[in-house]
Amino acid sequence: MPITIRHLSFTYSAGTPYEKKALENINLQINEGDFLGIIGHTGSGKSTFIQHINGLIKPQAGEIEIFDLKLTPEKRPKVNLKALRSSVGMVFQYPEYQLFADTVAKDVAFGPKNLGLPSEEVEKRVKQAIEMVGLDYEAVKDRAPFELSGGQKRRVAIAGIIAMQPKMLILDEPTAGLDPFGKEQILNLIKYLKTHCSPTIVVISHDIDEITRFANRIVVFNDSHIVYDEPMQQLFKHSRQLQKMGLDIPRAVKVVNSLRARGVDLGEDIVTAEDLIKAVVARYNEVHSTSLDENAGVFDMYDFSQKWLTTEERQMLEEESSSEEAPIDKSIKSSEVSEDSKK
Amino acid sequence: MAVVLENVTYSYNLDEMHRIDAVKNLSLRIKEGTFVALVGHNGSGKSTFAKLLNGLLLPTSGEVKIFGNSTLDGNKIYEIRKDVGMVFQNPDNQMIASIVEDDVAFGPENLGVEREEIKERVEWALSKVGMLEYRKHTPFKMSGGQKQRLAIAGVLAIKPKVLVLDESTAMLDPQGRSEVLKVAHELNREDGITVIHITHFMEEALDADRLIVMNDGQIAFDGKPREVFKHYEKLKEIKLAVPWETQMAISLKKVGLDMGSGIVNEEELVEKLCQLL
Amino acid sequence: MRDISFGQYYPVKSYVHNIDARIKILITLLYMVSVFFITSYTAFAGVFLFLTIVIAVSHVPYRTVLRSIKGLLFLLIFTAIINIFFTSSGNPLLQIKIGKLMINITDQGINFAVKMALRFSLLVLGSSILTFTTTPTELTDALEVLLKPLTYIKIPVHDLAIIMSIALRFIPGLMEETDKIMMAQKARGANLDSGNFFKKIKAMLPVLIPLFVSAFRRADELADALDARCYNASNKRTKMKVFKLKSTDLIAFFVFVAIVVLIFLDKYLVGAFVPSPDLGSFEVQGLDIFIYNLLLKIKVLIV
Repeated sequence: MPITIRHLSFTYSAGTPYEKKALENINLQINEGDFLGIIGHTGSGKSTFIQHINGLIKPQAGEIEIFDLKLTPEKRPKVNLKALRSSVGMVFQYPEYQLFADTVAKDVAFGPKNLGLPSEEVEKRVKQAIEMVGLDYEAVKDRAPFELSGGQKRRVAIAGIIAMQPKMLILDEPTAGLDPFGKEQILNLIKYLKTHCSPTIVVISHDIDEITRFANRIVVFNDSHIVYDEPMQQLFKHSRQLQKMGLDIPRAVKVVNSLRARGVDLGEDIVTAEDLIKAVVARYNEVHSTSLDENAGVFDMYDFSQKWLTTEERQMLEEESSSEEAPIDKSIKSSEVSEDSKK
Repeated sequence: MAVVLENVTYSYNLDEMHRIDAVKNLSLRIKEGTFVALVGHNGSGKSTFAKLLNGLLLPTSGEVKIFGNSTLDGNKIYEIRKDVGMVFQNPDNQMIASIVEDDVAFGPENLGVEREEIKERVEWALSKVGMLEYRKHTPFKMSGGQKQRLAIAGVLAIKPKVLVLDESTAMLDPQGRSEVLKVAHELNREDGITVIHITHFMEEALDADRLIVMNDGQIAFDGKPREVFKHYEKLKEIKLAVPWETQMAISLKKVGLDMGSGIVNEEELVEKLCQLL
Repeated sequence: MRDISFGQYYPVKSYVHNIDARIKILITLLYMVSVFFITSYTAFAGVFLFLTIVIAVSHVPYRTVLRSIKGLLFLLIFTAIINIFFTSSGNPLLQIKIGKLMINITDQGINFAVKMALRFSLLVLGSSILTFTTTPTELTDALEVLLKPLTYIKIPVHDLAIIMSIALRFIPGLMEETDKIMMAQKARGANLDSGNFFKKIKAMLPVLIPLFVSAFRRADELADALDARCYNASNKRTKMKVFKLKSTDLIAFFVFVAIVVLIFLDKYLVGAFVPSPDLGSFEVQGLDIFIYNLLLKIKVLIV
């Protein structure tokens, strides 16, 4: 069942000198199975928009239909927010800042418990969720979230949301502040969640190269309006307009545009690094009458096959190996996830 | 020498049993006027390195010298802090005052600089980072890039000889990152300020005079950026990646295209592809 | 989403906004003291008129200013009732018997109650004009200057001012953060506003803990930033900004002083020269005496 947003408008602090329009007449349909990317400047309204989808902000005008629920400006009938929040999971920016419990397991259990699930079910979901984000349940469940590394904390926070098993997952700047390797791991995780957890995913990001890695559709917010809503391959026909709005375009598109300006036209729908490799090799074969394999190119900036250990993790493992239990490498899990999703 | 580190080790005590060496027996010399990029993944020890430079952390063993003054010398600490201006990661947690010019004035006020000169410095620092028109504004509505440029102005007003950017681009969007980087390069070029830019984005090292790659508390690579990028396989092993364009050239080369070597930016990549296609 | 400043500051440009914050603080202090010396209804009316003009000049809507009284309405009514019930002087108008307790309501009691309510409203209105037209930063800076003499008795005025200004600087950020964390926990199904007091406190833990963690992290980072910018490097700290009085500030000050003088004249001078009418134990004060006499004359003329 799709999510339909009609004529949604929202103004902050209406009637005061601080009045600020955030959304104006937004119309959008999100279909089941969409992998939707949202881009736009800070203050373009995109954050306000996603807060509406989760019922965190009540619409001032217009309406939102989500699954079987309808959100309107009217006070009645009362919306079943619990039902809404169990079907739409929301991962905020820097989600690790909301961790509060003294153990990882307790923190992840917070959401499912709030849904009123029986305790066996809660426990089952917690285990599932922690493993799904690529952490080892037994190794981390009793640890304090604050002892973990930045990337791991973020994964625990995401586990806290997916333990509610939402049909739709919204992530606001999921990779912000991480180092490139950590970013890569989170991106792989999101792809993995699409197939194994929530079939519909919406991601907000500043980094267009990140969004093009997975999105099949991109919505562009500018100045409280939706200015573009296009399949990913089509959006960058508007490269010039996007750049005029101060938005970035993917590097592959930049290269293609520069090549075109110099008389080498590789075609329209090149967006990702892989697209570019294919197109370049195809053109090369044509020009030089060679038969290099167009599909042989891989754009592997990072190596996930290695066992990545921080000094801290190594220390922890040494400790564990001195006890009875077999040492478990938590990061092996994350590399499995990433390989899984690469397939 | 602007910065000299001699066999510096810094250890955190986790508890009585555990000690972690964030920086291990590091020796390093940085000449005045260089733009140094220091890259490493999270946990490689680069932030500890930054804090050792102005005495926010003191070495467990070894010595850090800034223009000959050791950070271990308690009498010199303010001189060192005057020489080494430091900008941190979070753009929201560095401003002290609510109005831009008051904040920039904070440093020189602490040093007891004369009023007229403070005014000059504030104006100079703000115009250096391109924020003079915002001098009467509050920072609340500014973008991350603008806030970080203000933070730079705040330390510039102290007239440092060395500017350390401690992951100051990590929390910014691509636009903010390039704004901050541009300002840092200008300060290096026009005012001869030594810049130590600590980051985990390899492409930000492109225009640096010198690239130092840290791993596990030690220096893994140290050289001209283009030279270091040649070791892309080894960089991968320490969770780092070469710039996108370099990777693109490598990927195409693996398929069988003659990409040559040494491509590090879009211009060079496009040039090469034009020759080939 | 919270904005530029918190508290009451109303961001428009006006003559009142423009007055030096030190002068505004002094005027407000003087005003608060002199409100207690207002005695006649005529003087009350005069001061109200003065406030009305000041508000008009400040471009802050009347509605917004009046809202500041709304929160205190209960207190206002409460003190008025206390005054009515427990003033025994004056000419009795009504006797109420509650059980064994006899309560006399006198004209003087009502007189006191009304005046107390008026005084109270004047206090709130007047001081809120200060907060509506002065940013918290201006207030701190001005206070630092005004309290400077206290450094001679070893009170660290500058450090206190830095603490104040950092607090002011971080409060909006922390409020925004609270909002964010609340939203995040609500998105996880947290029910933050139901149940009794203790349940509520418990339900707030998922908000309070991350908030504290974040506040400490900020404090840590800020401490580094302060150190990096040579905080405490020298005993001879200088200041970039000096408050310079403008002629308009002085004019504002003298206009106000004139009004204070009038208030005092009303209280102490008028009664000394003009005999007050004999109305039993009810007192007519200040310029009200003239008004009373005038009304009497009109009454006589009509009759």
